[in-house]
Amino acid sequence: MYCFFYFPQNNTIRKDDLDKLTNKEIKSIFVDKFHNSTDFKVREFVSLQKFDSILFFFDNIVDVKRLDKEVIEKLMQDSQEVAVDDIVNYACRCCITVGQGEILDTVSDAVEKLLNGFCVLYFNKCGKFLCFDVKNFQSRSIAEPPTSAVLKGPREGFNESIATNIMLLRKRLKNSDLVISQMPVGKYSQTQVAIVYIDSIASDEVVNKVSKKIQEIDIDGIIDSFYIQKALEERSYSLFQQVGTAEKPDVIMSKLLEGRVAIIVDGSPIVLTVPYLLIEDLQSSNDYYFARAPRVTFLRLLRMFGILIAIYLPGIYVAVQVFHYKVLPYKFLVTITNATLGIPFTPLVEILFIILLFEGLTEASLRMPSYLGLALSIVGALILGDTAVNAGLVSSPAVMIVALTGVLLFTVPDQEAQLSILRLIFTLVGGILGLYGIICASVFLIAYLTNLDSYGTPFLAPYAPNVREDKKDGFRRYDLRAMKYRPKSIPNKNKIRLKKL
Amino acid sequence: MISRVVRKIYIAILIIALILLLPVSMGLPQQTLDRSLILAFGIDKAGDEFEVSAQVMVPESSQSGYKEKREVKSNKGSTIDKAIASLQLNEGKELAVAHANILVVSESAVGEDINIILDYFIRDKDIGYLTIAITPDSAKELLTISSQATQDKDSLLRLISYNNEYIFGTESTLNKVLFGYYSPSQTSLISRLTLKGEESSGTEEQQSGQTGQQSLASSEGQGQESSTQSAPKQIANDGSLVILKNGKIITALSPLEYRGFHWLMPTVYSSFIELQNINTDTLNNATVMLDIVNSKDDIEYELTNDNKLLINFHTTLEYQISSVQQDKYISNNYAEYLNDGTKVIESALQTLIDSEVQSALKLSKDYQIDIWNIYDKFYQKYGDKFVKYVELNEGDYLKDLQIIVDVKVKESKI
Amino acid sequence: MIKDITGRQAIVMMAIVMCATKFFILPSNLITNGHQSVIYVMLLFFVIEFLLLLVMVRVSMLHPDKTFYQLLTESVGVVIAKIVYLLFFCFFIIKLSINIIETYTFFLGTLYDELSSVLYVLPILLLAFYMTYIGLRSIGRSAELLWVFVFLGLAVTLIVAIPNADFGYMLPIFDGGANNAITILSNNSLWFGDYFVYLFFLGKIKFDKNYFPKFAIISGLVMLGIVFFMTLFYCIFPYISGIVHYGVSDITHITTHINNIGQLDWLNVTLWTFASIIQTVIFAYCAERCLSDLFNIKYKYLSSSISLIILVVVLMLLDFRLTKLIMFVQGPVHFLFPVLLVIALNIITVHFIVRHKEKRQKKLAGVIYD
Repeated sequence: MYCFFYFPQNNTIRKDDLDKLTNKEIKSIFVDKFHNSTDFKVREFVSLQKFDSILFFFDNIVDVKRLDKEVIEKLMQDSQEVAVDDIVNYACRCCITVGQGEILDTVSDAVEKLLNGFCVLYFNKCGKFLCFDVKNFQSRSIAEPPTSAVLKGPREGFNESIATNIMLLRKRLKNSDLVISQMPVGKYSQTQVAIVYIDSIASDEVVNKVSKKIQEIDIDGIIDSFYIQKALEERSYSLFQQVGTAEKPDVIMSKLLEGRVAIIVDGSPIVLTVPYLLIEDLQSSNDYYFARAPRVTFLRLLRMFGILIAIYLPGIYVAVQVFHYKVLPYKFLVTITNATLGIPFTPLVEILFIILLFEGLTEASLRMPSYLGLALSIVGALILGDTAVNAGLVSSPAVMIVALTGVLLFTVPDQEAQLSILRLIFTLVGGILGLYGIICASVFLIAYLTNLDSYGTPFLAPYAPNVREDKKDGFRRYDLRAMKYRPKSIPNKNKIRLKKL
Repeated sequence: MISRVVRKIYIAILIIALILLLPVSMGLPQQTLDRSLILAFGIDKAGDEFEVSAQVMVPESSQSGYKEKREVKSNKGSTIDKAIASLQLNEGKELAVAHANILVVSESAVGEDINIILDYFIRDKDIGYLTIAITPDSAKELLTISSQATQDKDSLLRLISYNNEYIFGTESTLNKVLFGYYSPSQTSLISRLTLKGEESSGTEEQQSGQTGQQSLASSEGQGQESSTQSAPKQIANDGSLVILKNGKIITALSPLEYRGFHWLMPTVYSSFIELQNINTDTLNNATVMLDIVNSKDDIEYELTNDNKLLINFHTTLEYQISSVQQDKYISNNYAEYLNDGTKVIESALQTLIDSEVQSALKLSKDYQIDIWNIYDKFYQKYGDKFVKYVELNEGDYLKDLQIIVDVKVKESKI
Repeated sequence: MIKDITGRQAIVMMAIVMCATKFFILPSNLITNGHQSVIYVMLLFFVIEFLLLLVMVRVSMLHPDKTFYQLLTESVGVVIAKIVYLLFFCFFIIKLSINIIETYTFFLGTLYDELSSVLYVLPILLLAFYMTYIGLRSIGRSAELLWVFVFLGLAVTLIVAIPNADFGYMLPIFDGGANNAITILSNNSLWFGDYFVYLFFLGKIKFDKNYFPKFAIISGLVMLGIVFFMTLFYCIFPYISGIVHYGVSDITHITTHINNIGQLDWLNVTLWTFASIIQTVIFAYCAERCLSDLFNIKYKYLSSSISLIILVVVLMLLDFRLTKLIMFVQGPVHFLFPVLLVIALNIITVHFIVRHKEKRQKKLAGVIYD
């Protein structure tokens, strides 16, 4: 049994001194501070059979049983003779058996601790507060995240509790170089945000930059890690994210080992990582846990083709119908012509209509109650797949193309939102300018992406600029034994990661 | 600050462009519904005018399965482009010609210079790859019969291009024809299609082995008669070729006559050779069919010191006996019948090749047609010296041409 | 000096720039009257260009932190440097016009039935403006990403077309003498000289290991590739090259079976357009650099806008017509290329002058002893 106690530095003592206030006065200060909140509890009792004590806590966020057993019971049952001036030290060092405790000098510090699940103890006219960590924040159990399912491999995922998330990382990285630097962010929410990195690997420049950006945040509340993400991005108005995200501790672990910095936000299961490369979204946990290198290469290329088909196919279809019928082979042309004969919409309108219909269906399916899901999905399939085509409102090639691209968007789920917008843009461009417009838009997109950087790392590395060594884990994945060095694209201190396998 | 302003102006330009262009683009219809999709062209001559026929794809609404309907539309005009323009006018739609891959020209339409027709098609950039055929019959009728086929409407294309390339070893495309037209030899070859039906057509005369000249004449007459017949007809390509010099039809060659030219061409595909009247110890007036499985050619072009053109043709052929026929087929184990017959067969083959090549040479000289691109070959080797030779002979460089044929044959043991 | 591009990116950009618009109408223009002789003359011409390019590369490696403008001002003074830059600016504007009008005409003749010139030019101008604004780094990275597809398309085109070529038509060499060929080549000289863009990469390249040999090999291969393309074009269309206008797409028209599965030439057109756009953007960048150094314009967006506006004026004067462009380029301005060639030949002199001055300064400072 021991307690951590922290004696604040002189320069952190606040101006509101305790000044030997009585229990009653302290009680009224706290009750006023918390505006008579009903979950704010006050327990008065006698400690060591002679000292009037008062205990403050929020009953919904503390472990009441622990409080009773390790604090109140200990104090009430102890009968040691202790001087008034020594009561605080005695209680902290010899009596109370809670693991983490602090001695505080100011009311504001005590308020902050109360809000973080501590209980605060005051002895009559002793002039100091004792606080102990008895927090008991309820959170979701550790489960596999729905968007990162694996066939073989770890299935643990982060949840909303920062403590749990840090625990999941600590148990995987048992090294003293793993640094976790936690700070509260948000005026009202005081959300705990932890910066995690491996000191001997991560670049100091990146770490300092991340810390600085987070410290500069001045906001009412942080609800999700997305808010931090926005603060970390250098171009927050861009369509493309410049900060990576992950929901699994094994993924974050591998990213930390490459030299990245992770940011965990209390209340969010999504952990952020910087620097970020676009190629990361093409990589999946499955690629590292059971599939062989040639299979992984095939899968990554498949994902890439899936993306290209998803964003280009509707635009090319419209462009070819409106401007470039010559491109299509004859039999294909006959099939499409026959299928679109009698359709009242022009090709661009038809495709946009179907895309919007599918997007609406996707959006509705996220929100509809599960017991209606089956019925509505049948309606959606029948209406779009069968009735609309038979009625001659839309053609079957168009429905097939939009459905196919809708499915292919999810080959890379993290980019689904961006790809969906791109699909729309290329469809519009294809309908307005044809293949030439699509080509110009593609070059524009490529130029835009090559201009993006994420904390000094080019977004499209290792392909633009070319970083030969990093291509071992790009579209083509080499065997694990070949990956001896950390990625050159990510700034890091220690280059070698594998000496012998 | 400046980058923000620039970005805002840039986005504003994009949005304005989108607002202006999007409503227009949303009204743009599908090209194929707005146009008539042409798959084949046919050119006939009606008096002084050209009659241009077009095989048009007619869309039929279908949400499942492949359906294709074709019709033939035609119109007349004093020139090709006028005829096509009036065709477009009658259709009420623009003509979409990018998928047109066949051009059938009737012999009457060729007239003095086929380039009057072809020049239009080579200059139209929309037209991709065009295969050409000449017919003694009506081109329009040919297209009509082809469009009425219930299955495999591309049979016409296959008849010309596939058969020609793989069976007869020629290429009857627009590029090739114009290549010959514009080359110094001015000689082009175009495949010949005929209509075969209950009434006789040119093909019967060809099968009897008459010269191309005669078959052409008879087929012309036949062509006129056959067009009025209502009996079901079929399109036939028996491999005969029409020779044009300077765009004008000179003659037509049967496959057998053309084979003589074939021996000196770089792409000689395996073909069956029939040797008749083979007499050995065991065979009497037998007909032996050989399959040429491999050949190795070496052709030397020489302008001799006494100003004569000489081609030394060396070839080594490997053959296999395909069948031996005497009264009835002896199809198995005929080797025992041919113990010493191999030498006879080889000798007969050498004689056949030599005679065919010499016949081809004679045809070339008679009609002054340079199918072998002799001008190009000699020019590439001798340059100005050859040009002077041609000038000396007033352009008739084939006059003193000799071909020495050296054939080595051996049986393939595969 | 901030190094915007790596050595590999410089090589890739040069490769694309050198061959992008040489495969549209140039083959037909040269070969119709020049026949095979013009190809041999072009080969010799490329040898000279190749050596000149290597000299430029060497100069860039010996002065890795100096831009072309700095080199010129240090050696020949500000006035002459500005005159040279003015000439280069005119050169790049003409090259941009050639690129845009040729590609526009090509699109109009192949992929599109109708295409408004405004609708064509607007995206390319916006793209050029954007990419010059964001800088050479992005252009280099984009080229590095796209070059594989571009050259793959070209390689497929060439390989598919080889069986249809009769290389015997390349004989005899120089029939009728080389004078005609030289005249034709000089009339079309403004289609060449794309390698001058390298001068505007000076001072911005981060040299890789073995940069010089790699550059030499790749640029040599590209030049040989261009000559091979011309050879192939001639050997497939020896007598009808005058009526076959668009080299890169017509060369696939002649393959028989491809037609049955669709038009492969259109796929190649699409891939080759990337090369054309990259070339346009690089020329726009060079024009912007010329203008900003000429008039000391600080803001990139301003110099970029001005150069593009001048380009639009030139395009309007040429009416977006290929015939007018050819008359203009083969007529009054074709002297520009030889002038620039002479200037480029003097780069070596410039380099030695600067080196000599540097050595003198070092000697005065006591670093080098006699």
